[in-house]
This record gives sequence, C-alpha cells and structure tokens, in this order.
Amino acid sequence: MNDDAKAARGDGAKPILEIVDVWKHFGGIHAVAGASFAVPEGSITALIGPNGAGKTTLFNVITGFYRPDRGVIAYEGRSVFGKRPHAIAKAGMVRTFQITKALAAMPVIDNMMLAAPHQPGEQLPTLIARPLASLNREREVHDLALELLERFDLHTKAEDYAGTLSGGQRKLLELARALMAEPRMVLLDEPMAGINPTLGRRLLDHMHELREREGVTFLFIEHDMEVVMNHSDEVVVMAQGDVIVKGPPHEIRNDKRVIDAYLGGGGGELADGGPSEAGAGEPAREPNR
Amino acid sequence: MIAGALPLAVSFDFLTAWDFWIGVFIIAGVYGVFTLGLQINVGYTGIINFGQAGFMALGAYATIVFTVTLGMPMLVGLLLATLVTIAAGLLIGLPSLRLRADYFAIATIAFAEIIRLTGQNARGLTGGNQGTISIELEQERFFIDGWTTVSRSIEDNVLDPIGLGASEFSNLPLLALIWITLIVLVIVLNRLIASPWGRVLRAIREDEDAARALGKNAFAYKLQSLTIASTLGALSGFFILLQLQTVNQDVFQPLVTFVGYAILVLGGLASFAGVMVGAVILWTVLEGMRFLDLPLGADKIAAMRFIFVGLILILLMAFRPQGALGKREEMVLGE
Repeated sequence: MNDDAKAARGDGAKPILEIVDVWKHFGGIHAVAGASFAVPEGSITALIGPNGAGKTTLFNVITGFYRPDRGVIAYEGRSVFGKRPHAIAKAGMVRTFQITKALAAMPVIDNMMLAAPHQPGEQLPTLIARPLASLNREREVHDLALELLERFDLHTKAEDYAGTLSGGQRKLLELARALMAEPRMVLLDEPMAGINPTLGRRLLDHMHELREREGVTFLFIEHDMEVVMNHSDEVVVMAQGDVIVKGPPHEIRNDKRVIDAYLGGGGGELADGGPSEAGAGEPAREPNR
Repeated sequence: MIAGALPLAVSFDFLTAWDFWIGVFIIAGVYGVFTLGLQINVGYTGIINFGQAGFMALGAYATIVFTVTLGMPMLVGLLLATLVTIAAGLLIGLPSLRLRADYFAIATIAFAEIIRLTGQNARGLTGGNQGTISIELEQERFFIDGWTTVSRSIEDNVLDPIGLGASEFSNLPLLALIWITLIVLVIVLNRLIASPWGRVLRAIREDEDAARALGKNAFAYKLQSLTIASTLGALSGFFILLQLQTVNQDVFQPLVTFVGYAILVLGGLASFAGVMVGAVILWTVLEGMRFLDLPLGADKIAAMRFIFVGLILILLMAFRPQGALGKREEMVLGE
C-alpha cells in the first residue's frame, strides 16, 4: 500500500514542506539542532523519536509558535520562517496539539464554525458594513460543519459543549476542526495518544480518505510503532534535536540507528515494542543509509 | 415598619422613597457601563483588566479639559475624551497584551494608578485634590451647565405634564439617559458577541493557542477587546461627571475597578445583562446600608458595607457560583 501510494505520486513528488538546518535553543539546551527533512506533497509522513528528541518543539517552530534561531522553513515553496501562527494557519498549514485543545465552554458546532476561513464577519468593519455577507457565510459554514461532523460521527453532539466530549471524541473534533480551516497540510501531534483503538482506527481512516480525496498532506508525531509502520509513506526519525534517519517505514524498522536511539545507546531493557520487535523478527540488515 | 423588638432600630422606610431608588439606579447605571467593559475583557476574551478605573478617570478628566478648559460643546468633548482614552488603551495594550494574563493585570493596575496620580498632581488640568470644580471656578465655566439645560427642559416638558414635577424626581432625566445608554450598549454588545467576531473572542478566552492555530490573530482581537473596554470606561467617566458634577482623584481609586469585579461575579461572567443585575444588587446593598441605624460611627458603617458585600460574595460562591445570569456549564467547563 505504501509503495502504491508512492508510485501514484511519482517518485520525485515535490515537497510541500522543506526544513533545512533548523535550530532552536532554550537557554543552553538545543531542543532542535540542525534538523533537515522534506515532506512530499500528498504524503502521510510520520515524525518519530524518543521522548525529548525535539519533535513537538519542531512542530512549534514549523507552525510559528516558537521562533527558530536559524534555518530554512519553506511551505509550498515560500519561507514561513518567523511568521506568526495565525498567518501560517491561513496559508493552509494547520496543526493540532498533543494535549487536545477543545474550546471547552463553546458548543461543538461553534468550535467547527470558528475554524472556517473567509468569514467577513470576523472583522469588525466588515461585520458592521456588510452584515448580510457575514450571515450568508455563516449559513454556508454551518452546513459545512454539520456535514463534517456527520463524517466524524459527532453530529449528534453538535449543540453540546465541547467540554462534555470524551477524550477520543475531542481528538476527532480537533481533527474535524482543523479540516474546517481548509488546510493543504495538517500537522498532528500524537493523534492516537489516549484514545481507544476503535476511535483511533477511525481517525486513521479519515486521514487516508482525506489524502486520497483531497490530496491533504499529513505530518504526524506518533509513538505507536504499529500505526507508524502501517499508515505512513515516509518516516522521519529524530533524536537529540536532529534528524538521524528518514525513509519509507520498511527501511526504518530495521535501521540500527533507530533502535539505538530508542534504547538510548545503553542497551539492557526495552523501552517499548516497535522497532526492536521488528528487528527481532527478521535477521538484522545493514542500515541502507 | 420598625422592628421595635430588636435592640437596633432598623427602618426600611427608605425602600419606598423614590429618590433612594433613583439614586441607586443612577450609580448602578454608571457602574453598569463601566463593568460592561470588564465583562467583554474578562468574561468574553479572558484578559484580566485591572485598570478600568484608569480609563474612567481619563475619560472624566479629558472631558473636563475639552469642555471647561477649552470650552468645547459637551458632546464634542465626550467624543474627543473617548478618543484620548482609546489612544491610552492602545498605548497600554500594544506593549502589555503580549504578556501572560497575570502580568497584564499588573500592568493595567499600574496604568490606572499613573492616570489617577497624574490627575492628583496635574493641578492645572484637573484641579488636583480640590477636584475639577476649582478649574471650573477659575474658568467661570461649568461642565454641568450643558446638561442642566437639557435636564430642565425634560423636566418642564415631559415630567411636569405627567405629574412628576416634584424635586425628588429631578434626577429622572439623568437616570433615563444613563439607563437608555446602558440598555442600548447591552443590546449592541450582545449582538457583537453572537457574531463571528464574538466567536473568535470566546475562542481566545478558551484557548488562545488553539485560536491562533486556526488562523485567528489573537493579539489583534485582544487589542480590540481592550479598546472597547476603554471606550466604555471613558463613557462611564462622563456619566460619573454628570452624577457627581465635580470629581477628584479619590473617585478613581483602584477600589472602583474591584467594585466592578464584584458586579461581574454577582451578575455572572459572560453575560452583559448580568452586569445590569449585578450593578443594581450591589448598589442597593451599598446604598441601603447607609440607612442602618447602628450605634457606630459613620466611617465604621461605611466599612461595614463592604464587609457585608464580601459576605454576599462568599455566600454566592457557595450556592450560586455562576452569579445571577451566568451559565454554570461554561463556568465548570471553562477550566
């Protein structure tokens, strides 16, 4: 399946996001230290690495929440270095957060409608000067939001406060809400964390469907190796702020450097399943990069 | 109605007096306009503004400068004073709204004190501790004259014919002016908050980063929210001038802002109508307690009024934390 997807895109798919030698430090700690990689357009790319590797920091840098020290960050061929988060989101790169940010004291439908772009009623001057334009857009967006909620099986909750949703439903809402923003690229920070396998599968199905139907590119941070191996076209592995390996999942799973990074070089006990299991399953191959 | 059996004689006769209620509603209306500004900041945008008294002070002082010192008509003076206050709001907001909420609160209280203490010392502009009346005497031009003419003509042409000509009703025109303004403001603000613009504000209140990640320029919206609060602060400064006729720095103590917060809590967060309810409840209690006939000095009774308000707030927290018109779900889910 991964190979099919790759073939469909053609091998030289142009990157939608390019990261070149990006640095970000906090005091004396280099959370991101010279990371470079590219995300091909229309791909599902996984960003993995042990805790503290700098994945979430890199997400924050890419989406403008942190200002990078230096490096190149190009989205759709244009630099977004140092741009503010709302400008980056408007350009079509929308993210979710590791700890879900459902707007708890707002109804689910308001959460959704908030994200829709091109609402003239969001600016005071146009709201006052063209109230009808605002109302018309509201109707449009309301229908769109209900449609999307139905696809995510949240439509019965539309009028409920988002704070009453379960953890898994919040994850779904956050993805649905991100899609309301009409993104070309979605960054998901641990979308599977803390949700039950059934909801998780549905979230993954949505991801694939959106990629096939609308060509949305996904970059996601994930710790569940089964998900990473089965659902991504490309895997980027980070450790200590830098990208150590990148490539298709079947290459990554046997890469010695990845296994070392996860084991912290020390050996002994296994942190979690994933790559080491895979390594145990078949005879170890030479790293091919 | 005298509770004769009690050792303390408490008379509730004042509750049937017209001028008591007119007085309560005037001051409640002034604080209502004042607190609407806090409501849009605290209840809808999630920014903690402790400097609302500063906007009120600036609005009042600037009105005096424009109308008395410079001799402009009242409405022109109000308009210009509002613009000055908005400029001050931008001045404090631009550098400090990027701060975390608690530091922003500190910055705003400092701003309000700067305005008040400047008012105390810039005697040439504000009359210092003697109050604005000293400027008015010096200029032989009185701010209130502009309003008295209007008020008189309402009394003669509207109130007299319907039998409300007695002197106890002489403040009815002011009451009407303030409450009509307040109600119009509540309606307009409710519509704004229900609009897509208001939805962005509420989203920022819930989670600023989530709003930014969805393409909303949170900073610009917070600045707009503060600008609206400063406009309402300036308007309440204008009304307090109409009510008191002369003001000095003492009128704009930081306590005023916290009375506004008490109104917010009483009326309920995230409800503009709640501000009206809260303001009336609070000022009925504060003014009503003046009539308590306790064997205490006047200063002690004045202090007791706030003890009583504190007690009401504590009971409210225990039994109705969302206030009169606040939404309990929003409060529980908010954090």
